[in-house]
Amino acid sequence: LIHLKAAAPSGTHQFRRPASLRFVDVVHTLLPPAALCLGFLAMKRAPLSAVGPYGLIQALPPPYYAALGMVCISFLLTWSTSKPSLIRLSVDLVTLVVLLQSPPAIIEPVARFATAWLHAGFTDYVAQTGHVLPNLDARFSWPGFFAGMGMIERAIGLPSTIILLKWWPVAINLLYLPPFYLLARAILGTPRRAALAIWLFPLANWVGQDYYSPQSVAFLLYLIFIWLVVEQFGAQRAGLFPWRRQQRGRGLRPRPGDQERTEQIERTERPQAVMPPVLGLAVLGLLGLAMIVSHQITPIFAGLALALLSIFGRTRLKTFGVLILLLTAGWICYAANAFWAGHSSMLFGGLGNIGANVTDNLSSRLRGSPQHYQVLDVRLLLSCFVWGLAGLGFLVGYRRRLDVRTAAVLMITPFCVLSGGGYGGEAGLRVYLFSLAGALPLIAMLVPPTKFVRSTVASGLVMALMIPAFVLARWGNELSEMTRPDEITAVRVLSRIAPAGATLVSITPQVSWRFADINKYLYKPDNLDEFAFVKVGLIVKLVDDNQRGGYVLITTSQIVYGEQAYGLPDNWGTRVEQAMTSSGRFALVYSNPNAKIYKFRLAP
Amino acid sequence: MTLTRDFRARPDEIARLTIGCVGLAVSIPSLAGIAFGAPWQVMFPVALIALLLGPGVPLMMLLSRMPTAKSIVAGIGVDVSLLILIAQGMIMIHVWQPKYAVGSLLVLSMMMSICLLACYDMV
Repeated sequence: LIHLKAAAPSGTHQFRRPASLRFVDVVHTLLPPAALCLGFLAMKRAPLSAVGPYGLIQALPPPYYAALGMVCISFLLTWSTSKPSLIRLSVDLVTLVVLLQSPPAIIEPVARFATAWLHAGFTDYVAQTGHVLPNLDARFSWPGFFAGMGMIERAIGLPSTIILLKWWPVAINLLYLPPFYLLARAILGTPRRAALAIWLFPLANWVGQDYYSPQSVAFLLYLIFIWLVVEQFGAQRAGLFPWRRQQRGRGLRPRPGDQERTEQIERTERPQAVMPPVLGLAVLGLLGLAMIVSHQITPIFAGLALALLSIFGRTRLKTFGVLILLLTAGWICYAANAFWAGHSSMLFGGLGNIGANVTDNLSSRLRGSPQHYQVLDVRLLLSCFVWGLAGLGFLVGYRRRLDVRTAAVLMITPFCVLSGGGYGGEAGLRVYLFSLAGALPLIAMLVPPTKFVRSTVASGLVMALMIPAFVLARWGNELSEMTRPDEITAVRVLSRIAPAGATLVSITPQVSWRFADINKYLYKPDNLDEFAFVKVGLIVKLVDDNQRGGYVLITTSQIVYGEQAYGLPDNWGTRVEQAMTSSGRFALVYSNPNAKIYKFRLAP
Repeated sequence: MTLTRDFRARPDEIARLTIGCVGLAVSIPSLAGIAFGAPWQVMFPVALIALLLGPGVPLMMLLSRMPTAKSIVAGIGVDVSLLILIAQGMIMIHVWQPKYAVGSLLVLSMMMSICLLACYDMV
């Protein structure tokens, strides 16, 4: 300290009071923490019983939206300057993500979403045994995520990964922000446009693939992968049709935006800070391999994006994308043979059948109760709004001679996956999520280099539209997707009373079980399927052939899911229970307000 | 050139020193925690930071000329990928030793952090 003090030039380290501390600056600084406090208080006071067929939007009180409005105002104040402060932007973004993603963690008593519980069970199994069960579930053919989390769980001594489920979406969404910002910055060049792109990301990401799952981590790796490709291995070459570019450029007068484009090209062609190519390739290889062993579809998105970027002259990596695709195919052939052996139609059946795949994705989703339909309509509208704005951004960006190709390729590439298969009706969700990496930078191209007031007002209006739409689209199914503590209690009771090898039946796929004892019982049907058993005969068929016995678990989430997703009448669960009891084949062995267990009686 | 002027001239140097120090500060207790079986409530946050920070982040800072923020993002990508691939490798060769694997990563992280601190003058 003495050395530092002695070495400092006179007057350098004296605290300088700002010339004038403006009132607006003070308010601006206090806005995000105030919004966070207000939002937390509002969520704490939100009654769980108010969650209805439209989900959490019915339970969240007005102060919650006021908090979101405050943080948006804070962002707009940050953003309305020519060079937004990165620290202020980071604080605003963290506040926004926490406010948007934490309502279920605060309002609901236990972690939400059945599949997240299932994944916790998979992780715990790997952690305890060091083995995977590819014949039990297709996801074990891509066990990288479960293995990685299982390794951490076992090394640190976590009792179970269930404790991570509640706050996982908040944490993973926060981790998405830095690579997404860097990607947007690499595409757009200017920090102001990149700031808008990253700000819109949490508001546009309604698809809910951020629960405790392999795809949540794979998407993080994808963002880092694409950022490295665009920034470290980016190029501004002619691509497929160089002669067209020459013709277009001949004899034309300079257009508005030419200067901006030239600067952008210079930035991309001469990156100031690069990593050595060998290191860059090694990092890309690591990221690619981790994606390949962790998730089925993410490496395909990454490989295709890279291949198309190469075709359109936006990366110097000519064959790396093809290599990623080949390695993905190799993994499917070698390690995932348990998944596709005998089910090749699942893998290749939808190849090239784009119409059927789109229909599969839409028809399997667009059904259910009227309220559910309205939630789905909002989801479609929000997606079309984002894509529409991106289309407009493409035209404006093209007119301004910005580099629209990289963003357009990243937006369009995910749609190519639809030609490969329906992915059990989930491909549409993934296509939207992955297209955001290109769509949001395209939207940011709508922002003019000047006219700050006009663009700030326009952005504020877009946010005002997107906030309620996000809350409805993201948490609209919460009534069926939330997990009730009674249901977890019932599953624990079930694992106590059912003998090993017994068949456990669920009447719809929305049940939070298999978080323990994943290979102790025969779980039917598989939760990758869609089903709702309204007839007792179908249930009997599933349990009849097992001499070790069978049990049927009926929970509130399952019944609500049947109403919402399949449009079944309100009392369908009661009817099924009555039919089971009157058949004489089932006996009620456990009951609590949200769950019942029926034991199957074997025929004499 | 004095130390003070050096810091003022190159803010990335402060980041290097900070990352190196934080890397050491979290990897050593994590290693000790794994070795002596500390309670997970204490271990989890420290080990999580240690595994996210190292060895990728110091490695990126050592080998690339990227700014700190970019090195951290690329480093986190490397760390997550390494965790996944090492665990996957152990499963494939039927050798499940999570404590040794995580311990090795933490040792590597510690070494990288030391290198980062040691190479300060060379930058």
